[in-house]
Amino acid sequence: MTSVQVEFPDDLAKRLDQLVAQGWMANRQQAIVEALRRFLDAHRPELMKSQMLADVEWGLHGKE
Amino acid sequence: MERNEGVIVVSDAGPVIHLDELDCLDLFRGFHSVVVPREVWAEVLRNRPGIILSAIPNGVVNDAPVDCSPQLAVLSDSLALDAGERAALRLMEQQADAVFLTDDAAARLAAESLNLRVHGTLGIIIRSVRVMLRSREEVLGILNSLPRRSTLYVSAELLGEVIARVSSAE
Repeated sequence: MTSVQVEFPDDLAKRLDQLVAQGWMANRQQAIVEALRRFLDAHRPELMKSQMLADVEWGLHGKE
Repeated sequence: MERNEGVIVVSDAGPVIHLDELDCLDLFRGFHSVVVPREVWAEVLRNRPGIILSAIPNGVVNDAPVDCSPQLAVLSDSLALDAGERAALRLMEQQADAVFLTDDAAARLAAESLNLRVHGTLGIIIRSVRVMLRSREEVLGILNSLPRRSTLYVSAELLGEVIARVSSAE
């Protein structure tokens, strides 16, 4: 396991703690790991590359 | 809602923030209107406190509540979209011919899943040559300056490929 120390806005921390307090997540770590996993799933390099290259095509040759 | 005088675009925070960082908000010119949901505008203001709405050509903040389809609700949850992205996509569902602008891969994926037209900051910058707002040389200068002047993150390899394509385009 890798340990990372990060700072994030107070309002996010508050919402995170509420989630844990309400029993939706076991603890902060579980919630953060799950959020990171979802973010990485939706932000794969090959996906972002294909999206940006599609933008180049539209920019050069597209129609509004 | 395509009109003779241009297309409506609905923008997420990223393109507004990134174009403002590049002093290029005028590249929104040529669209009928640039609609920014209230949630998105709040995010823009957090990141660019000095920005004014009138700097966005035909910029409009949408305050009206908009319904959300069940499909969008599920997509938004599964892709963990933020409040601004959700608000922008709700607006897009009401304006099927509009163009959605976002630099977030997940929001873009959601839009594509709903068959919505979607582009990002790179597309807007490069479009400026096609619609004669900038010369090709000026756009190449903007693209080269992205790593220094913008928080739009593009890998060095991809940026090189983008610049090559713009340089060699007919």
